Amino acid sequence: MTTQTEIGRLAIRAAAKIHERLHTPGRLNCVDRFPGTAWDRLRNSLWRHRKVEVRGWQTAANALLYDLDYQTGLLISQLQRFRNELPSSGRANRIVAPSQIVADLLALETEFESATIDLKEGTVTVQTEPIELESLWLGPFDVRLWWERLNVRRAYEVIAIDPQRPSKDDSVTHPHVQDRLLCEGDAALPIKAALAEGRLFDFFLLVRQTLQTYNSSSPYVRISEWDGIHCKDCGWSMEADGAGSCDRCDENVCSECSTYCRSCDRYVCHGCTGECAECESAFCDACLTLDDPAQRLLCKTCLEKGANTDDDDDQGRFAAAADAVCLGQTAAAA
Amino acid sequence: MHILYINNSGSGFADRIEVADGLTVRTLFEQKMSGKPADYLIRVNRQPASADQVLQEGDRVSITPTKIEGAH
Repeated sequence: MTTQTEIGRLAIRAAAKIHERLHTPGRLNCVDRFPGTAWDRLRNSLWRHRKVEVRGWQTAANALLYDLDYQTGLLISQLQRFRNELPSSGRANRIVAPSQIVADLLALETEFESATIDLKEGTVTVQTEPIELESLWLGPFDVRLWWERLNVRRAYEVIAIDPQRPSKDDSVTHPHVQDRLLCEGDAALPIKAALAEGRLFDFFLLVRQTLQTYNSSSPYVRISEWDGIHCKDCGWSMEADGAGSCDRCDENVCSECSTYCRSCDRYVCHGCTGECAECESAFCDACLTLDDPAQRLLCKTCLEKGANTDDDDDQGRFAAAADAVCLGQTAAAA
Repeated sequence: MHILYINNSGSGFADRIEVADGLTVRTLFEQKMSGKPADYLIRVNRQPASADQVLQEGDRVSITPTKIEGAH
Protein backbone atom coordinates (compact mmCIF):
# COMPACT_ATOMS: atom_id res chain seq x y z
CA MET A 1 0.00 0.00 0.00
CA THR A 2 1.34 3.46 -0.83
CA THR A 3 0.45 7.04 -0.04
CA GLN A 4 -1.12 7.29 -3.50
CA THR A 5 -4.13 5.20 -2.44
CA GLU A 6 -7.18 6.51 -0.62
CA ILE A 7 -5.99 5.08 2.70
CA GLY A 8 -2.53 6.46 1.92
CA ARG A 9 -3.93 9.98 1.63
CA LEU A 10 -5.98 9.45 4.79
CA ALA A 11 -2.85 8.24 6.58
CA ILE A 12 -0.94 11.41 5.63
CA ARG A 13 -3.68 13.67 6.94
CA ALA A 14 -4.15 11.60 10.10
CA ALA A 15 -0.39 11.51 10.73
CA ALA A 16 -0.19 15.30 10.54
CA LYS A 17 -2.97 15.62 13.12
CA ILE A 18 -1.47 12.95 15.39
CA HIS A 19 1.97 14.56 15.19
CA GLU A 20 0.51 17.95 16.06
CA ARG A 21 -1.44 16.40 18.94
CA LEU A 22 1.68 14.71 20.32
CA HIS A 23 3.48 18.05 20.47
CA THR A 24 0.70 19.60 22.56
CA PRO A 25 1.81 19.71 26.19
CA GLY A 26 0.16 17.00 28.26
CA ARG A 27 -2.37 17.88 30.92
CA LEU A 28 -1.79 16.87 34.50
CA ASN A 29 -4.97 14.99 35.34
CA CYS A 30 -3.73 12.81 38.16
CA VAL A 31 -2.99 15.38 40.90
CA ASP A 32 -5.81 14.09 43.10
CA ARG A 33 -4.28 10.61 42.92
CA PHE A 34 -1.00 11.67 44.55
CA PRO A 35 -0.57 9.23 47.48
CA GLY A 36 -0.45 11.93 50.17
CA THR A 37 -2.27 9.77 52.75
CA ALA A 38 0.17 6.89 52.31
CA TRP A 39 3.04 9.36 52.57
CA ASP A 40 1.65 10.84 55.83
CA ARG A 41 1.09 7.38 57.33
CA LEU A 42 4.66 6.37 56.57
CA ARG A 43 5.98 9.58 58.11
CA ASN A 44 3.88 9.00 61.25
CA SER A 45 5.17 5.45 61.55
CA LEU A 46 8.73 6.69 61.23
CA TRP A 47 8.12 9.24 63.94
CA ARG A 48 6.55 6.60 66.24
CA HIS A 49 9.42 4.21 65.58
CA ARG A 50 11.95 6.86 66.54
CA LYS A 51 9.99 7.57 69.72
CA VAL A 52 9.81 3.94 70.92
CA GLU A 53 13.44 3.36 70.00
CA VAL A 54 14.54 6.28 72.16
CA ARG A 55 12.56 4.83 75.05
CA GLY A 56 14.14 1.42 74.53
CA TRP A 57 10.87 -0.40 73.76
CA GLN A 58 12.42 -3.01 71.53
CA THR A 59 9.31 -5.17 70.95
CA ALA A 60 7.24 -2.18 69.90
CA ALA A 61 10.09 -0.97 67.66
CA ASN A 62 10.22 -4.37 65.92
CA ALA A 63 6.45 -4.36 65.36
CA LEU A 64 6.68 -0.88 63.86
CA LEU A 65 9.39 -2.06 61.49
CA TYR A 66 6.84 -4.43 59.94
CA ASP A 67 4.45 -1.49 59.53
CA LEU A 68 7.19 0.61 57.97
CA ASP A 69 8.03 -2.11 55.51
CA TYR A 70 4.37 -2.57 54.49
CA GLN A 71 3.66 1.15 54.24
CA THR A 72 6.82 1.77 52.21
CA GLY A 73 5.78 -0.94 49.74
CA LEU A 74 2.31 0.58 49.49
CA LEU A 75 3.70 4.05 48.89
CA ILE A 76 6.07 2.78 46.19
CA SER A 77 3.24 1.05 44.30
CA GLN A 78 0.97 4.10 44.59
CA LEU A 79 3.77 6.41 43.46
CA GLN A 80 4.47 4.09 40.53
CA ARG A 81 0.79 4.28 39.52
CA PHE A 82 0.92 8.06 39.85
CA ARG A 83 4.03 8.15 37.69
CA ASN A 84 2.38 6.01 35.03
CA GLU A 85 -0.45 8.53 34.78
CA LEU A 86 1.83 11.53 34.40
CA PRO A 87 1.85 12.91 30.87
CA SER A 88 5.18 12.37 29.17
CA SER A 89 7.47 15.35 29.47
CA GLY A 90 8.61 17.03 26.27
CA ARG A 91 12.25 16.47 27.12
CA ALA A 92 11.84 12.74 27.64
CA ASN A 93 9.63 12.52 24.63
CA ARG A 94 11.12 11.54 21.32
CA ILE A 95 8.24 11.99 19.00
CA VAL A 96 8.71 10.31 15.65
CA ALA A 97 8.48 12.23 12.38
CA PRO A 98 5.11 12.46 10.59
CA SER A 99 6.51 10.22 7.84
CA GLN A 100 7.10 7.48 10.42
CA ILE A 101 3.51 7.81 11.64
CA VAL A 102 2.33 7.45 8.03
CA ALA A 103 4.46 4.31 7.66
CA ASP A 104 3.00 2.95 10.91
CA LEU A 105 -0.57 3.58 9.77
CA LEU A 106 0.02 1.97 6.39
CA ALA A 107 1.65 -1.09 7.95
CA LEU A 108 -1.36 -1.72 10.18
CA GLU A 109 -3.38 -3.04 7.28
CA THR A 110 -0.97 -5.90 6.65
CA GLU A 111 -0.45 -6.68 10.33
CA PHE A 112 -4.13 -6.77 11.31
CA GLU A 113 -7.36 -8.16 9.92
CA SER A 114 -8.41 -4.64 9.07
CA ALA A 115 -7.32 -1.06 9.76
CA THR A 116 -9.41 2.06 9.29
CA ILE A 117 -8.83 5.76 9.73
CA ASP A 118 -11.71 8.10 10.46
CA LEU A 119 -10.61 11.73 10.12
CA LYS A 120 -13.96 13.12 11.22
CA GLU A 121 -14.02 11.07 14.39
CA GLY A 122 -10.28 11.34 14.85
CA THR A 123 -9.73 7.61 15.24
CA VAL A 124 -7.55 4.80 14.03
CA THR A 125 -9.12 1.37 14.48
CA VAL A 126 -7.63 -2.05 13.93
CA GLN A 127 -9.39 -5.37 14.23
CA THR A 128 -7.63 -8.36 15.73
CA GLU A 129 -8.11 -11.90 14.56
CA PRO A 130 -10.51 -13.92 16.77
CA ILE A 131 -8.98 -14.40 20.19
CA GLU A 132 -9.19 -17.68 22.04
CA LEU A 133 -7.67 -18.12 25.48
CA GLU A 134 -7.40 -21.61 26.98
CA SER A 135 -10.25 -22.85 24.76
CA LEU A 136 -12.46 -19.88 25.64
CA TRP A 137 -13.50 -18.24 22.38
CA LEU A 138 -13.72 -14.45 22.77
CA GLY A 139 -13.91 -13.46 19.13
CA PRO A 140 -12.25 -10.53 17.39
CA PHE A 141 -11.72 -7.14 19.02
CA ASP A 142 -11.50 -3.62 17.69
CA VAL A 143 -8.74 -1.51 19.19
CA ARG A 144 -9.71 2.12 18.63
CA LEU A 145 -7.35 5.03 19.22
CA TRP A 146 -8.70 8.59 19.55
CA TRP A 147 -5.78 10.86 18.73
CA GLU A 148 -7.38 13.92 20.34
CA ARG A 149 -7.17 12.09 23.67
CA LEU A 150 -3.40 11.56 23.43
CA ASN A 151 -1.60 13.21 26.37
CA VAL A 152 -4.97 13.89 28.03
CA ARG A 153 -6.46 10.60 29.20
CA ARG A 154 -6.75 6.96 28.16
CA ALA A 155 -6.65 7.38 24.40
CA TYR A 156 -7.94 3.98 23.32
CA GLU A 157 -10.68 1.42 23.86
CA VAL A 158 -10.90 -2.30 23.26
CA ILE A 159 -14.26 -3.22 21.80
CA ALA A 160 -15.47 -6.80 21.44
CA ILE A 161 -17.07 -7.35 18.01
CA ASP A 162 -19.11 -10.32 19.20
CA PRO A 163 -19.00 -9.96 22.99
CA GLN A 164 -18.72 -13.23 24.90
CA ARG A 165 -19.45 -11.92 28.36
CA PRO A 166 -19.07 -14.00 31.50
CA SER A 167 -22.30 -14.85 33.27
CA LYS A 168 -21.44 -12.83 36.35
CA ASP A 169 -20.30 -9.51 34.85
CA ASP A 170 -21.77 -7.81 31.79
CA SER A 171 -19.05 -5.17 31.70
CA VAL A 172 -16.31 -7.73 31.02
CA THR A 173 -15.56 -8.98 27.49
CA HIS A 174 -12.09 -10.42 28.07
CA PRO A 175 -10.35 -11.55 31.28
CA HIS A 176 -8.41 -8.26 31.17
CA VAL A 177 -10.98 -5.90 29.61
CA GLN A 178 -13.74 -4.19 31.55
CA ASP A 179 -15.93 -1.37 30.22
CA ARG A 180 -13.80 -1.41 27.05
CA LEU A 181 -10.66 -0.61 29.07
CA LEU A 182 -7.71 -2.95 28.93
CA CYS A 183 -5.99 -3.52 32.24
CA GLU A 184 -2.52 -3.27 30.76
CA GLY A 185 -0.43 -4.94 33.47
CA ASP A 186 3.06 -5.55 32.08
CA ALA A 187 2.14 -3.66 28.90
CA ALA A 188 1.48 -0.37 30.73
CA LEU A 189 4.92 1.18 30.36
CA PRO A 190 5.70 0.09 26.79
CA ILE A 191 2.21 1.22 25.69
CA LYS A 192 2.74 4.58 27.36
CA ALA A 193 6.15 4.96 25.72
CA ALA A 194 4.84 3.93 22.29
CA LEU A 195 1.93 6.37 22.42
CA ALA A 196 4.06 9.23 23.79
CA GLU A 197 6.51 8.81 20.93
CA GLY A 198 3.88 8.28 18.25
CA ARG A 199 4.94 4.70 17.54
CA LEU A 200 1.42 3.62 16.66
CA PHE A 201 2.43 0.33 15.04
CA ASP A 202 4.12 -0.76 18.27
CA PHE A 203 1.18 0.46 20.32
CA PHE A 204 -1.36 -1.66 18.42
CA LEU A 205 0.97 -4.66 18.50
CA LEU A 206 1.38 -4.36 22.28
CA VAL A 207 -2.38 -4.19 22.84
CA ARG A 208 -2.99 -7.20 20.59
CA GLN A 209 -0.33 -9.33 22.30
CA THR A 210 -1.79 -8.43 25.70
CA LEU A 211 -5.23 -9.49 24.48
CA GLN A 212 -3.74 -12.77 23.32
CA THR A 213 -2.36 -13.53 26.78
CA TYR A 214 -4.17 -14.78 29.85
CA ASN A 215 -2.79 -13.87 33.24
CA SER A 216 -4.57 -16.30 35.56
CA SER A 217 -3.33 -14.52 38.67
CA SER A 218 -5.13 -11.26 37.96
CA PRO A 219 -8.18 -11.38 35.68
CA TYR A 220 -11.47 -9.51 36.09
CA VAL A 221 -13.16 -12.89 35.71
CA ARG A 222 -11.31 -16.19 35.69
CA ILE A 223 -11.66 -18.30 32.56
CA SER A 224 -12.68 -21.24 34.76
CA GLU A 225 -15.60 -19.13 36.05
CA TRP A 226 -16.58 -17.58 32.70
CA ASP A 227 -19.74 -19.65 32.32
CA GLY A 228 -20.51 -19.51 36.01
CA ILE A 229 -19.15 -21.75 38.68
CA HIS A 230 -19.36 -25.50 38.23
CA CYS A 231 -20.43 -27.91 40.93
CA LYS A 232 -17.51 -30.28 41.54
CA ASP A 233 -19.83 -33.22 41.99
CA CYS A 234 -22.38 -32.97 39.16
CA GLY A 235 -20.77 -30.29 36.96
CA TRP A 236 -23.88 -28.10 37.00
CA SER A 237 -23.16 -24.44 36.22
CA MET A 238 -24.19 -21.96 38.92
CA GLU A 239 -24.24 -18.20 39.20
CA ALA A 240 -21.19 -17.09 41.17
CA ASP A 241 -23.30 -15.25 43.75
CA GLY A 242 -25.52 -18.23 44.48
CA ALA A 243 -22.83 -20.89 44.51
CA GLY A 244 -22.20 -22.76 47.71
CA SER A 245 -19.03 -24.45 48.77
CA CYS A 246 -18.12 -27.48 50.81
CA ASP A 247 -17.45 -26.50 54.41
CA ARG A 248 -14.63 -29.01 54.57
CA CYS A 249 -12.70 -28.76 51.28
CA ASP A 250 -13.99 -25.36 50.00
CA GLU A 251 -14.78 -26.76 46.53
CA ASN A 252 -17.86 -25.32 44.78
CA VAL A 253 -20.90 -27.50 45.22
CA CYS A 254 -24.56 -27.04 44.30
CA SER A 255 -27.39 -27.35 46.81
CA GLU A 256 -28.45 -30.71 45.34
CA CYS A 257 -25.03 -32.20 45.93
CA SER A 258 -24.31 -30.79 49.36
CA THR A 259 -25.05 -32.96 52.36
CA TYR A 260 -25.88 -31.72 55.83
CA CYS A 261 -23.85 -33.20 58.63
CA ARG A 262 -26.04 -33.06 61.70
CA SER A 263 -23.11 -33.73 63.97
CA CYS A 264 -21.14 -30.57 63.18
CA ASP A 265 -23.81 -28.46 61.39
CA ARG A 266 -21.76 -28.24 58.17
CA TYR A 267 -22.71 -28.71 54.51
CA VAL A 268 -20.24 -30.88 52.65
CA CYS A 269 -19.67 -32.27 49.14
CA HIS A 270 -19.91 -35.95 48.17
CA GLY A 271 -16.16 -36.39 48.49
CA CYS A 272 -16.20 -35.25 52.10
CA THR A 273 -19.28 -37.29 53.03
CA GLY A 274 -19.38 -40.76 54.55
CA GLU A 275 -22.07 -43.03 55.93
CA CYS A 276 -22.35 -44.35 59.44
CA ALA A 277 -22.22 -48.16 59.21
CA GLU A 278 -24.72 -48.48 62.01
CA CYS A 279 -27.48 -45.88 61.50
CA GLU A 280 -26.73 -45.44 57.76
CA SER A 281 -27.06 -41.65 58.03
CA ALA A 282 -24.72 -39.33 56.12
CA PHE A 283 -22.07 -37.40 58.04
CA CYS A 284 -18.97 -35.49 57.05
CA ASP A 285 -15.77 -37.56 57.13
CA ALA A 286 -14.47 -35.65 60.13
CA CYS A 287 -17.47 -36.72 62.23
CA LEU A 288 -17.08 -40.44 61.54
CA THR A 289 -14.76 -42.52 63.66
CA LEU A 290 -13.27 -45.89 62.88
CA ASP A 291 -14.63 -48.41 65.32
CA ASP A 292 -11.41 -50.28 66.05
CA PRO A 293 -12.43 -53.88 66.61
CA ALA A 294 -15.13 -53.96 63.89
CA GLN A 295 -13.24 -51.68 61.44
CA ARG A 296 -16.45 -49.77 60.66
CA LEU A 297 -17.00 -46.04 60.39
CA LEU A 298 -19.46 -44.89 62.99
CA CYS A 299 -21.00 -41.57 63.94
CA LYS A 300 -20.47 -40.28 67.44
CA THR A 301 -23.92 -41.35 68.65
CA CYS A 302 -23.61 -44.92 67.36
CA LEU A 303 -20.06 -45.15 68.68
CA GLU A 304 -21.23 -44.10 72.14
CA LYS A 305 -24.22 -46.45 71.91
CA GLY A 306 -21.87 -49.29 70.99
CA ALA A 307 -19.63 -48.47 73.92
CA ASN A 308 -22.63 -48.46 76.26
CA THR A 309 -23.84 -51.80 74.86
CA ASP A 310 -20.37 -53.22 75.40
CA ASP A 311 -20.45 -51.92 78.96
CA ASP A 312 -23.88 -53.50 79.50
CA ASP A 313 -22.64 -56.77 78.03
CA ASP A 314 -19.56 -56.67 80.27
CA GLN A 315 -21.74 -55.94 83.28
CA GLY A 316 -24.10 -58.82 82.31
CA ARG A 317 -21.19 -61.23 81.88
CA PHE A 318 -19.73 -60.10 85.20
CA ALA A 319 -23.08 -60.55 86.94
CA ALA A 320 -23.54 -64.02 85.41
CA ALA A 321 -20.05 -65.03 86.49
CA ALA A 322 -20.73 -63.70 89.95
CA ASP A 323 -23.98 -65.61 90.05
CA ALA A 324 -22.16 -68.77 88.97
CA VAL A 325 -19.61 -68.29 91.71
CA CYS A 326 -22.40 -67.76 94.20
CA LEU A 327 -24.33 -70.71 92.89
CA GLY A 328 -21.18 -72.85 92.97
CA GLN A 329 -20.43 -71.77 96.48
CA THR A 330 -24.02 -72.53 97.43
CA ALA A 331 -23.85 -75.89 95.71
CA ALA A 332 -20.56 -76.67 97.34
CA ALA A 333 -21.90 -75.59 100.67
CA ALA A 334 -24.95 -77.75 100.16
CA MET B 1 25.93 1.63 10.36
CA HIS B 2 22.97 2.80 12.42
CA ILE B 3 19.57 1.22 12.95
CA LEU B 4 16.55 2.15 15.05
CA TYR B 5 16.18 -0.53 17.70
CA ILE B 6 12.86 -0.78 19.54
CA ASN B 7 12.52 -3.08 22.53
CA ASN B 8 8.87 -3.35 23.53
CA SER B 9 9.48 -5.49 26.60
CA GLY B 10 10.05 -4.04 30.06
CA SER B 11 9.45 -0.31 30.02
CA GLY B 12 9.71 -0.10 26.23
CA PHE B 13 12.16 2.12 24.45
CA ALA B 14 13.35 3.10 20.99
CA ASP B 15 17.00 3.92 20.40
CA ARG B 16 19.23 4.61 17.47
CA ILE B 17 22.17 2.23 17.82
CA GLU B 18 25.34 1.50 15.92
CA VAL B 19 25.77 -2.05 14.66
CA ALA B 20 28.32 -3.87 12.55
CA ASP B 21 27.83 -4.10 8.80
CA GLY B 22 26.28 -7.37 7.71
CA LEU B 23 24.59 -7.97 11.07
CA THR B 24 21.68 -10.42 10.85
CA VAL B 25 18.42 -10.32 12.75
CA ARG B 26 19.48 -13.45 14.65
CA THR B 27 22.75 -11.90 15.81
CA LEU B 28 21.07 -8.68 16.87
CA PHE B 29 18.55 -10.70 18.88
CA GLU B 30 21.30 -12.70 20.56
CA GLN B 31 23.19 -9.52 21.42
CA LYS B 32 20.22 -7.63 22.82
CA MET B 33 17.76 -10.14 24.21
CA SER B 34 17.66 -13.19 26.40
CA GLY B 35 15.21 -16.02 25.81
CA LYS B 36 13.96 -17.65 22.64
CA PRO B 37 13.25 -15.72 19.41
CA ALA B 38 9.96 -17.66 19.14
CA ASP B 39 8.71 -15.76 22.20
CA TYR B 40 8.96 -12.45 20.33
CA LEU B 41 7.51 -10.77 17.28
CA ILE B 42 10.47 -9.43 15.38
CA ARG B 43 9.70 -6.86 12.72
CA VAL B 44 12.12 -5.12 10.39
CA ASN B 45 10.62 -1.97 8.90
CA ARG B 46 7.27 -3.19 10.27
CA GLN B 47 7.42 -6.45 8.30
CA PRO B 48 8.04 -9.97 9.62
CA ALA B 49 11.71 -10.83 9.25
CA SER B 50 13.65 -14.05 8.86
CA ALA B 51 16.50 -14.84 11.22
CA ASP B 52 19.04 -14.63 8.40
CA GLN B 53 17.90 -11.25 7.12
CA VAL B 54 20.85 -8.88 6.91
CA LEU B 55 20.14 -5.48 8.39
CA GLN B 56 20.61 -2.34 6.36
CA GLU B 57 21.51 1.22 7.30
CA GLY B 58 18.46 2.99 8.77
CA ASP B 59 16.42 -0.16 9.36
CA ARG B 60 13.77 -0.07 12.03
CA VAL B 61 13.88 -3.24 14.14
CA SER B 62 11.20 -3.85 16.75
CA ILE B 63 11.07 -6.73 19.20
CA THR B 64 7.76 -7.33 20.98
CA PRO B 65 6.97 -10.19 23.38
CA THR B 66 4.27 -12.51 22.06
CA LYS B 67 2.88 -12.92 25.57
CA ILE B 68 2.28 -9.83 27.67
CA GLU B 69 0.38 -10.29 30.89
CA GLY B 70 -2.46 -7.91 31.48
CA ALA B 71 -3.77 -7.48 34.99
CA HIS B 72 -6.87 -6.52 36.89
